[in-house]
Amino acid sequence: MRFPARSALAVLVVFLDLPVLALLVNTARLLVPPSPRIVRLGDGSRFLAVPLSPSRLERSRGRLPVLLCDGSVRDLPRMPASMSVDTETWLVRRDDGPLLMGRLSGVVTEDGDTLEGEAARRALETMPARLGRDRDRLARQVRTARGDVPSEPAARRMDIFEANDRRVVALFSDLDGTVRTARLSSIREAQRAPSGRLDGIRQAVPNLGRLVLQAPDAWDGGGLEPVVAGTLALVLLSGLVGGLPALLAALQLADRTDPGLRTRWVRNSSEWFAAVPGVVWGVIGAGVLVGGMGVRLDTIFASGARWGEGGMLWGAITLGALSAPVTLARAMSAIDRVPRSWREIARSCGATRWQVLRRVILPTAARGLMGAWFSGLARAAGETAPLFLVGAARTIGRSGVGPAPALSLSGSFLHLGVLACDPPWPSTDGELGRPLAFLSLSLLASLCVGLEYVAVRLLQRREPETIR
Amino acid sequence: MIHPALHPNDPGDVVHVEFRGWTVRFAGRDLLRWIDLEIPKGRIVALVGPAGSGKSVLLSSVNRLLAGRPGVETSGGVFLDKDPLWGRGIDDLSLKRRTGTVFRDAAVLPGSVHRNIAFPLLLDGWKPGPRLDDAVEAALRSISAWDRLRDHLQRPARGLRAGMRQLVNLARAAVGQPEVLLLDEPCGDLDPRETDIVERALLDLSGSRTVMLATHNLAQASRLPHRVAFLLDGKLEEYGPTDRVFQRPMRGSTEDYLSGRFG
Repeated sequence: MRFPARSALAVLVVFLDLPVLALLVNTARLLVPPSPRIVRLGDGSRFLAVPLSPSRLERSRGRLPVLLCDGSVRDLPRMPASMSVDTETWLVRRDDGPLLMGRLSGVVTEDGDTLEGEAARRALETMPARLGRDRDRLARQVRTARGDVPSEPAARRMDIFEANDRRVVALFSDLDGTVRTARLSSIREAQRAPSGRLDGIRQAVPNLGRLVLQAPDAWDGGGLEPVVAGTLALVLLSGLVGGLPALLAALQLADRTDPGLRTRWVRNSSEWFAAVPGVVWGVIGAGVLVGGMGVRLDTIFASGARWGEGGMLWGAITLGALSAPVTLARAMSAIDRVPRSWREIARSCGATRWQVLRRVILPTAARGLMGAWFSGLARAAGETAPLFLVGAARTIGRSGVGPAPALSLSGSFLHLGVLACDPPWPSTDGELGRPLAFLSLSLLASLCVGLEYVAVRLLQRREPETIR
Repeated sequence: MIHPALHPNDPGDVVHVEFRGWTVRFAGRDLLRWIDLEIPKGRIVALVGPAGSGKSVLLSSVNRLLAGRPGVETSGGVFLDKDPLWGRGIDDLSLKRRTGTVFRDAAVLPGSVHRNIAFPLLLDGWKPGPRLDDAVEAALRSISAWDRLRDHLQRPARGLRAGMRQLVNLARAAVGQPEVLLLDEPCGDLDPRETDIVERALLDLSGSRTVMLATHNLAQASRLPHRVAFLLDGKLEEYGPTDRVFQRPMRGSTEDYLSGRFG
């Protein structure tokens, strides 16, 4: 039997990608909300608890950290007698208190009635959003009215609303009969344990949206919104300060009829310089940009330690510098693919250099130039090491040490890769830390893969349909 | 230097393109060496010679494509209707637009046939419209290709056969009403039938225009032109009326080449 050497190699290469796929799958699994369970211990006691994913170490010691109804965390000393998933128990995240857990025993309405059963469930699912909208609208009315004269009616309506709002609560009971209340208007999210795999996926989708799109200080849970924004802003900015000049340089070099010594040297060297690893650029950036130009700018403008401490602009320039050779090399090869005969025809028709560029080279090579720009972005997005040296922030929201830094050129910036390498979240916190760490890695990987995919698609040879 | 008797003028001929001691050097080599040549107005002149003999360089001296190549040195002069083409303070663009060029590889610009033919006018800032359409039609009619190509005007030019593409290129070269047409082996890649079509187009066109035709095809060189210039290693070996050059060549090298002994 012939050994299928070639396919074996192909399979091996594909397997190298499996860890990335596993990362994505695990991230998706962590997005499914945790399932509250009825825990029965050996001594016969029963209570509601959410198992927090234990680290491998804790599992080997036989400890199992769980979240209890009052929001506290307890280590179960040994494996309980039974842990059955309870689909009747709600997990409630709210603005004005810790995570709440319990079975829904009723919802008290504005009229003082108590809804129970199915009606209570429907109220819990629909009313928080409606109440929040009402409050926002009233608050706007009060604000606009205060512009000229204090508006009695609006303020009074707000007071009445607040008084009512305090009375509208949901009642959650533990297994031992303890009842806890939560103001309906403060509830951000109420979830039950998924009743099945499909239900879990259905609940994971809003979770993903929340973690990606919400700012971390919106509530205790927190999301990656400022981190995603920081990463995208950094990558785009590097495309502006590094990629665009590289494209212009490629066009300028393409203008020359015969590849002279200079063109050949730039072309070859740009391909070599693309291999310089990011950490080298990081050290150069930290020395030249932050320590050199930044400190000098601070001295000139007497701006304290504004530019001299690293920040978005220096990070973007560093990433731009390391991605520019990639862009330049790919842009030049895209321009090379414009047939020489077309340029000759155009020049024989009396086209100026600018006309050859605009009417022949640009329309033909536009796709390839975009592709070159995108592959520069992909290279920039994939580099994390230099950012540690030029001002990346290591904290995020309340889960870190300080508030998330706002986007600014001189300020420090948040980056998915940096926070995933050096996570400010407690890594054993199954409720928040692990999903966020996994999610930031997955997002970074997806961003790079996505950018590279776009680049490759654009760089694929496609004959242009027409020129202008 | 070539003896004046080698390129006598016919009575009534007016010199249109004139080379005077024209020498082109590139990378230490003479591509053209001291060319003295007079191209009469309204005639077809064929440039023949083996590859590397300088035919294309001679053509690109007239359309000034040579000027864009770094490292090229020139001396002597080329004159178009007594206007110098080379030298200080030359208006490159206005001179380029007095010539029209067709290259050997039947390459066309991307885009429709109409776009291709109208390209020189679009460069001059013409806007699409009936005036442009009329100019395209006139160019096609001047090479008698209107009936052949009228239904293909909006189709991509690259979809056409090589012969048709060269017709498109010929129309493009003619659309700006240039004084001189420079054809660099326009039939080099064509089969005999397509060559015939292009040659007919060329004859239709040449009545009013001066044509410089570089060719490897000796049969074509004996059929089409009024005069033949034979180039070898960058030197003009012989120049004269077609019949005379083919039947009574004055140089041994000319006779060897034309009779197929080398080249």
